[in-house]
Amino acid sequence: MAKSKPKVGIFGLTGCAGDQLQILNCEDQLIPLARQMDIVDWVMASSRNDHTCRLDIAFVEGVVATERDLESLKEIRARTKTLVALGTCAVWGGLPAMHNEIPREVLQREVYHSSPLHFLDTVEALPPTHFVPFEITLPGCPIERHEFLRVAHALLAGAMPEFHMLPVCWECKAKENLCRVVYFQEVCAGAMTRGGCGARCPSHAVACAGCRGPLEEPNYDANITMFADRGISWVEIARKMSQFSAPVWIKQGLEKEVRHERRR
Amino acid sequence: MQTFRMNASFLPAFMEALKRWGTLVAPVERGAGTYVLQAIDDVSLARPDALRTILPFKKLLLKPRFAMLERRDGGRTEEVFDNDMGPIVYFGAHACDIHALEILDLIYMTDYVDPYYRRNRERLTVVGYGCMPDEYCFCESLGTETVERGFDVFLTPLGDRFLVTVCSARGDDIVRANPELFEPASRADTRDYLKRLQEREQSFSLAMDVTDLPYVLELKREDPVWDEVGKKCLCCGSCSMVCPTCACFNVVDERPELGRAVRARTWDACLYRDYATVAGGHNFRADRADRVRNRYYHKQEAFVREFGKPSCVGCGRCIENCPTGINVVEVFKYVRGEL
Ligand code: SF4
Ligand code: SF4
Ligand code: SF4
Ligand code: SF4
Repeated sequence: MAKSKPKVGIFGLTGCAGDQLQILNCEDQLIPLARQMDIVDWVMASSRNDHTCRLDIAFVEGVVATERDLESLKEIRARTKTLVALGTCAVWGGLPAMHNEIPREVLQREVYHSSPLHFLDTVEALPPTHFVPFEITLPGCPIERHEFLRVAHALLAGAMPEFHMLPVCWECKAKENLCRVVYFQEVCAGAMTRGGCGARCPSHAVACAGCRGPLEEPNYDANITMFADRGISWVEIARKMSQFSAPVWIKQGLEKEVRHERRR
Repeated sequence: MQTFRMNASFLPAFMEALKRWGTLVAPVERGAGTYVLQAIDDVSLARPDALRTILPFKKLLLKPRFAMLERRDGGRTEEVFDNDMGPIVYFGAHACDIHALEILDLIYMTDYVDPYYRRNRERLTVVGYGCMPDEYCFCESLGTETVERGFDVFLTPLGDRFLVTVCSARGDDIVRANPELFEPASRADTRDYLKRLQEREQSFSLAMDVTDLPYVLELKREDPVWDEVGKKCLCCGSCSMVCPTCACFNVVDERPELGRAVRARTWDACLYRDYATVAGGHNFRADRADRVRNRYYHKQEAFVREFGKPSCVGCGRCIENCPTGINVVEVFKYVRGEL
C-alpha cells in the first residue's frame, strides 16, 4: 500500500521546551520514526519549516501565557487533523499556572524589579486544552519517552493510542515501594496522579509531587483530610498539593478537562 | 496427612534442600518491619516469621504486568512466555495465604482455565509456616486461620523444633529425599502443637461478624454508608493490589517500537474508573461510592453466591495499606449498624 507519509508539526508555546527535548532524547528510535513521517514544521530542531501547510499530526507543548500563544494555538488547530497536547503544561497548566492568583504586574515587578515591561504581554497562564479541543493528551513533566513513542507509533499505524488509566499508586504498589503516606506520613500525590512514570519518585523514596496531573477525578477533599488526619499542617499540604497546580484543576472546572481527557 | 518433627537448627539445611524443587522464594525485609517475597540464594535472608509481604504470593503466579503476544511487522503473532516463572518454591505461606491460593484456583481454573496462571500454578511448591496474628489479622472470623490442604509441607514453629505436616505427594518426596532432617513426631510434639494453636486462638484482637453477611448486604445496597466510604476513598487501588484474592486484569495492545506490537496483560481493579468504562465511553460505575461498594460486595456477597464462601481471607493487608485508613472490619460493623 503506497501511503504518503503523514505531515507532522511540533510546537512549543510558553514553556521550558522539556517535552520537545524528550522527543530528541528518543535517540535510537528517533531516526526510524522520522523516516516514517514528514516533519515539516519544528522550529526547535530544523531551520527549514513550512508554517502554513495542512498537518496530519501536531504536538503542542507549553501553556498559553500571551495573546500570541493563543493566536498560534488557534492557527495550529485550524491546520491539524490530530492534535496532541504534550506535557502537563499543555494538558493542565503545570508549573506556569501554579500562581495564577498573583497579578502579572506584581510578578513582573518582583522578577524584573522595574515598572511593567511592555514586551512582556503576559496573561494568566492556562493550558491549551482550555481553549481548543485536543484528540490526545499526554501529560508528564516532562513527558515519558516510551509514552510519546506509543502515541507516535499508534498514530502511524492509523490507530488511537490506548492507555490504561491508572494512578501512580498502581505502579508504586507493583514495585512494592514503602508507601510515603502510610509509613512516612508525607504528602504524596500518587493516588490523584495519572501513572505512566513508573512511580519514579516513590521508587526513590520521595513522595509523588503530582507532576503528571490528575488521573480523572482526584478525590481532592479526601486527600486533604487524609494528610490533615496524619498531623501534617495545612500550610504544608497546600504547598505540596499546589505544586503542580491542583487549584487550577479545580478553578477551571475539572469536568471540562475530564471530558477532554476521555475523548483522548 | 503425615506429621514429623524437625530440629529448629535444621531450617537452613531444609531451605537449601528445597532448591531442588525450584527457585526458592521467601519473604525478605524491605524496610523496617516490611517484607517482600523475593527469590533468594542465601537462605539466611529469609524472614519466614514475617506476617505479611507488601504484595502477596499472587505475583508469583501472574506478574502485575506481562506480555502475552507479540507481533513484528510482516511476521506472525507469536506467543511470548513473559509470565512463565519456572518451578518456584514459595516458602513462608501462612494459613490465610493457602486459603487465598485455593480461592485463586477457583477463579482461574474452574470454568475457563487461565493458561498463564496454570503454567505457574502447576509448578508451584507451597511450604507453609505457622504465624501469630497481629492487630490487622482477622482470619479466625473467616475460618481461614488453619489449613488442612492446599500445601506441600507446613512448618509450625514450636520453640526448638518444628512440627512438620506433609500434605501432598511432592511434600512426601521432599521429606523422603532428606531423611536426615526429620524424625517421627512424638506425643509431646502434638501436645505442644495443640498448646500453640490455643495460644494463637487467644491472640486475635480483631474480629468480624460474618453471620448472614450476604443477606445483610443484600438489604444494605442503597445504604448511605457506601457514600460515606466513597467520600473517603481515593480509588488508589492499593487495597486491591495487595489483596491475595483480587484477581481482575486488563488487556492492552501497544506498539512500544516501530514494527513491533505487544499485547500485554496487567492487574486491574474495580476501584479504578477506567475499569468500568465500556465502548462509547459509558461508565457503569463512574461514582467512587459504587466502586468501593463493588469491592466489598464482590468479596462478601457475589463470591459467596457463586462459590459458597467469601473471597476475603482476613489477611489484613488492605487495612495495613489503605492510606486513608479505610478498614474492612469497621466498614462491615458500620453496615450492620454497630458503629
Ligand atoms: S507512596 Fe504515594 S504513590 Fe506510592 S502507594 Fe503511597 S500514596 Fe501511592
Ligand atoms: S512520581 Fe509523581 S512527581 Fe514523580 S515523576 Fe511520577 S508523577 Fe511525577
Ligand atoms: S479483602 Fe483485605 S483482608 Fe480480605 S483478603 Fe483481601 S487484603 Fe486480605
Ligand atoms: S486502599 Fe483505601 S483509599 Fe485506596 S482504593 Fe482501597 S479503600 Fe480506597
